[in-house]
Amino acid sequence: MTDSEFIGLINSNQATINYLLNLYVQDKIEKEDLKQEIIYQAWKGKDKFLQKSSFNTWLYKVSLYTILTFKRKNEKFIKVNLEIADSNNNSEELTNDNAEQLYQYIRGLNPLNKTIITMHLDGFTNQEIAEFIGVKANNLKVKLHRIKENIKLNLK
Amino acid sequence: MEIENLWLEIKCKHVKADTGKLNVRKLRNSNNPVLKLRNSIEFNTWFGIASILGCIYLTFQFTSIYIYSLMLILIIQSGYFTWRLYQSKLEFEKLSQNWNQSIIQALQIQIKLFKKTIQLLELRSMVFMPLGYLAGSMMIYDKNAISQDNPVINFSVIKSAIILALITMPILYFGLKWFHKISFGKYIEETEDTLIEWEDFSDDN
Repeated sequence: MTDSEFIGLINSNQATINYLLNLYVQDKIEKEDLKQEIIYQAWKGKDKFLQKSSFNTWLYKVSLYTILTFKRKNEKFIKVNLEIADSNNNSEELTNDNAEQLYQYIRGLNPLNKTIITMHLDGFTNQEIAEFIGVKANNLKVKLHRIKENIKLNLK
Repeated sequence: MEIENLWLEIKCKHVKADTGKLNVRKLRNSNNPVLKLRNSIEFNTWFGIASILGCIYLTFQFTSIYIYSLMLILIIQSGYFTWRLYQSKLEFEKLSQNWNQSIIQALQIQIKLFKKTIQLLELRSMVFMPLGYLAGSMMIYDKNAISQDNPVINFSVIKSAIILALITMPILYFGLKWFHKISFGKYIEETEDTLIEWEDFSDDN
């Protein structure tokens, strides 16, 4: 992959980096630090991208790996209660509100639970998530089930 | 509504709001401990190379066997620590590029590497600095001695320089240890906590 091809791909996929950074990092300066580090690591290892998966999936894993190994501290995001106000009758607003609350709730989880649920929601298989974290797929299935149950319980 | 659908909706909203030209700012002083340690390794490696070259140059400037011996010790110790630091740099690079490795493994290696490198930097400073000024004081004395046509070495001067070096060694070592604790201690502690949590999950289930 040439440098210009790489820059083009990063340009069109940088939303993935920002999306993950917003999920895991609160501090603005640290976000900038990590964004540069992700792009630097991806650029250095661009020849390792073997086109077995899409560039976006590859960049997702590189970004998450870099964030989890470089991240400075376990930031305390504000925990969100997913209960919806009964008084709200507008269904569209209700959905938007619900979705935003779900996002904030997941943002507030610890890095382990957050990694499991976001990778799952972003379409990775249990096997892929288990390999990424370093656990057995069956163990992960149980944990994922618990996290989803917790979210559902809060959404009701 | 299903969690998956809600997530898709909110993800689209966040991703859509975040497109545009790549904007990377040049960072001057990053506070990230991993980046700070990487810069420190880089600086110390170059400093080590400069020290070796400096010592080789100085060896040719003096005639005293004591200074030769000291320079040889300095070259060997600088070479050893520079080599070890360079190895650490390579290991850090390998770690940050080894994306097929699991996060648990990566964090385990990172903590080990972090501690090992910090210890290396502390030991290097503890040995190098006192030896450096011991050599410096001997060189100053040697120059003066030659000009005064005196014997090259006065052992009382060396003795006091050695005593001073021995006193300074632990001060430097513990001073740097304290500095590293302030700079990296919290990061190591938090990473260890995260790792324990992740390892517990892999053991418990």
